[in-house]
Amino acid sequence: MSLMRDNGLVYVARGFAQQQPFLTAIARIATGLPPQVLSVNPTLGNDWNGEPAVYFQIILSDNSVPRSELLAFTKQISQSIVQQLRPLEDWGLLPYFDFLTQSDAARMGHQPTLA
Amino acid sequence: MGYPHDLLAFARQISELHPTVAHQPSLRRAISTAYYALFHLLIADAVAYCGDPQLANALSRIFEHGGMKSASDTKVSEINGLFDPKPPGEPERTVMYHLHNVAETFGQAQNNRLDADYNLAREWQPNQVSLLVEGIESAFKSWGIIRNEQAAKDYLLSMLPTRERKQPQSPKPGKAPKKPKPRPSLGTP
Repeated sequence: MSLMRDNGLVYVARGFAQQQPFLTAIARIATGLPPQVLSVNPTLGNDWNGEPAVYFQIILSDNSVPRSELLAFTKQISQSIVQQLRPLEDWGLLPYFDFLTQSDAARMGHQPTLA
Repeated sequence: MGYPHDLLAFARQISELHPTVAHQPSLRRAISTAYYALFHLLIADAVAYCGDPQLANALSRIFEHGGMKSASDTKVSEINGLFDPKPPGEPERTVMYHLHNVAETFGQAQNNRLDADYNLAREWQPNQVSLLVEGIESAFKSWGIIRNEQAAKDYLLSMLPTRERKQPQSPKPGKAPKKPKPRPSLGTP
């Protein structure tokens, strides 16, 4: 009987293999974000292309940022997280961001949590 | 203005159909339509250098969502590296800032579009979708500023399908590789 083995390398993203340090790093970054950010909730998974990913759901307090400045503010937050965490370069995870207001999050049944 | 801009304006209209109700069909259509607006904007510019309309139309169909996403993710990572620890000087900084905005928005928008179209468990809110559409409107503005820059053209070029991506997957263990089909050639009767 011949035994065939697939000795191909299996790549596991560092963010998957070392979840606790990864989540701790996010929690540390979250505490330094502006006060309008109520919650940073990361979820690990794979994106639609099958790539390892981290999904950040970020909850903002209602009306804390003028609507005309909201897009710039959310970009500033996501960029700040990416610059400090380096999710792709250091953890092998593609980052995705989803911003919700506090009332929208409550409507959807999400509880604010700091990573 | 052209089709991509019309599509983006339509996405904005759909997103505002039910401003106070989380009307899922219209919110999902708005996300998907806004993504396709950016998708077609980039492809339209990529084939714009091709003078023949018929050839341009054929070329526009070789672009793939996955390849364009992959090129965008790579570009975002490259630009992040370029800005860390010290951003480049002007005018490169401005070009890279806008290119980052386009590439990052494309990657996020594609993932949102797939969720909007296929993940019915995910619920969307009008404010949230309005912000996503605004992000794509911002990417349109950024692209308008840099579209003639060499870095923007290189980005479009990196989105073209490569030979590596087109290669078939290796056969499963224990299975013989498939014989390639004979190609027609001019020399055979």
